[in-house]
Amino acid sequence: MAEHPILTIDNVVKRFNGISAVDQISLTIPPKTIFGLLGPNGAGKTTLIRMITQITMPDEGRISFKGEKLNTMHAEEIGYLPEERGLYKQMKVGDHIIYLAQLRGLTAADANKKVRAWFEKFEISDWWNKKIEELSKGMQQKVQFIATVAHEPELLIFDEPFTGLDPINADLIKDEIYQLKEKGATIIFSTHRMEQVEEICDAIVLVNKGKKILDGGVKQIKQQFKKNIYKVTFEGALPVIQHPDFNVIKSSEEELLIQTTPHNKPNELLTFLMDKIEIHSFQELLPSLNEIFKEQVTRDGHE
Amino acid sequence: MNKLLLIIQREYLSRVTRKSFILTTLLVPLGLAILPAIIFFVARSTDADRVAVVDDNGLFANKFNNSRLITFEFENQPIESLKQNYKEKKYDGILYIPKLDMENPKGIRYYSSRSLGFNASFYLQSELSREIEKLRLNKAGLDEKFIENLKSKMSIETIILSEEGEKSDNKVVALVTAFIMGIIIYITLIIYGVMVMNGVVEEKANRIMEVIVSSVQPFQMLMGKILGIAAVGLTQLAGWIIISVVLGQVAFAVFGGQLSNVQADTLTQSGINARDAEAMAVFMKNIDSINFTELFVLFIFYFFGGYLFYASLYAAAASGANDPGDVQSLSFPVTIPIIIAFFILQIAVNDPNGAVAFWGSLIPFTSPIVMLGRIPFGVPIWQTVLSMACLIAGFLFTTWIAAKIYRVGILMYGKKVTLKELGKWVFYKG
Repeated sequence: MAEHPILTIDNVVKRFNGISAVDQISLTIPPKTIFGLLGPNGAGKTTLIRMITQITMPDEGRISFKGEKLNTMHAEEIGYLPEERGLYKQMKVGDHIIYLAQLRGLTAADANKKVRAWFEKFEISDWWNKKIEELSKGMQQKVQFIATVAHEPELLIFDEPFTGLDPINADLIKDEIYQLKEKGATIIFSTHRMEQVEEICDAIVLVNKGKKILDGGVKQIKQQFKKNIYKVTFEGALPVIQHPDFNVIKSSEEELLIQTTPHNKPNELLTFLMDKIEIHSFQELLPSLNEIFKEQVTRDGHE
Repeated sequence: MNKLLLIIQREYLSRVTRKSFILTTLLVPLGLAILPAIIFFVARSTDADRVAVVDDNGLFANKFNNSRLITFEFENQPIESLKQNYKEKKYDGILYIPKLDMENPKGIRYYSSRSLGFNASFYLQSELSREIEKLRLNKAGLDEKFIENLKSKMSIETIILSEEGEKSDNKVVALVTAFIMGIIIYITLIIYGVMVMNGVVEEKANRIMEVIVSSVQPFQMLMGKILGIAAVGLTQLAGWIIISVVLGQVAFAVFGGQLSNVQADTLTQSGINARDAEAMAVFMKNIDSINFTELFVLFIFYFFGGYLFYASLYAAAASGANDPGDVQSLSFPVTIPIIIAFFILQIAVNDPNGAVAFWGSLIPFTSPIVMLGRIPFGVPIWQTVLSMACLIAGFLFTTWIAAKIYRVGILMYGKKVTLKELGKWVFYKG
């Protein structure tokens, strides 16, 4: 393999008072991807991120950054926007972001140049001399975003980056995240809101109660959890369908939901239906991540 | 730039540029200068009490010295009639000296519509007793000149025999210096310790820790804050000293003449005869006998040592708090030993070589305050060195403990933390 995965997590365990917040999680995050870290509240997402950002150390297991064991030298190559994010209220916006960028290894001049460029890009240059406390929560979030990316790290971690943002600003940040990926950054995206992830992420991992439940590419996962349900819109009188493999879930005057067995090909269903009704559209219904998530988490809870 | 330096710089600049910092730096010495000045002018503006003296013995005429507090005038009018009309004659009171039995002087009275002030009545008594003393000595056949000679030879200079040779000792000067030093350390420990504490609470309340801790070590955070605020403290102390010196110079230039009068007055009142050159010389020698360079160096050392010792404890306590309300109960155990040290200081200045002072100046919880209280009296070298070593070991230990607690505490939200739990955090891994 020419390129190391940007991050490899190997059997990592973290316990608090004897309870495993993260229990033997292994993951590989390839470079230049947007990776979703999903799970309900309290699943261990933040604990996992804190170990990647070296705020805490794993009790067991190993984390590697580009093939090397994670160490403090890597801190400057990682940008982290935590969920619990705050700033010094009394500081001026510009000074504050430059301070944070310097803490992440930029020189004063470099930090100034890069931060100003971002302020211009977001058209917020007039905030430069305001105090942090004068900004609204959403405004602070934009500023925080700049603080996270200004030092151009290779790995970016966003923990619930859209909470508190209006749709326009959420789209703005989303576009920036795409662009960062285009420029070669790897992005870890932690959230419990599946609908946001569906469109953004290339791959995901689902964790619950500290354990990994599933991981993989978004498309593969959807294929893996599909239930072979097809939606057919049609015209004509629908006869009673009696077929060992096809099971009607729901039918109305012009729409039909029908489930096949895993070994049926879509064309078999289509052929079967074609001489009975006039078909206007035919579509396989893939489960949304939200459904998979709920199903997996509930199942996990009953085991 | 080094991250620790960056943090120190931010902690420092964000505080010294605050209006409240600039105001306290300017106003504290002004306040300290203005308060005595006000007292001084109020005291000066009160007129001296005009006292009529009625002397049935005919011995005291014109013997009493007038002062800023009291002027004497001798009246031949009988006491009973004077009591009726002393107010018309613009007297504030009447001093009546009946025929006295010199062996047992009794019956001297002061008549007035209002009582004399403390200083004035003390002055009146000292004038009277001096004259009566003289009369009695004369009666015993002793000459006034002989008595004066006898008196001036009575001033005794205490010499301390120490390793550095002989030096003069004056309890009063040493006591005052010691007490002031101790109080300054006491106040600064609390001011800047609490500043560190509030800084940590602010960071926790703002939830800024995660943003910063991912790029710097918690230990760098802690040390950056402690050292940054130490620099703030030094700046403020330097500001206070410079402003006080400048104010002192200005005051001396403007009121120079008047001040020296007042000094003479004060000396006279406190029973020291300002004209007694020898007493004055001893007094000055005593001020010189305190080694100010040594005192200054040790002051800086104990200021820093004590500050580092307590600032890290305050930071540790604050890291367990969720809001400013919590921090009160967690920081209380940190403030207690500082207050105890202040009480030990009061014992130490009265008995600088006693057991309480000795142990108090060794144990790092109290040594920054108590040792400063002992130094002006002279402390054996081995004790100073031992005390300094204990303090260095002490603050290394508290910083180590604090770093461990702080690292866990700053990321712990929502739960109300007890002291016991703070203690447990010391043993947490990574």
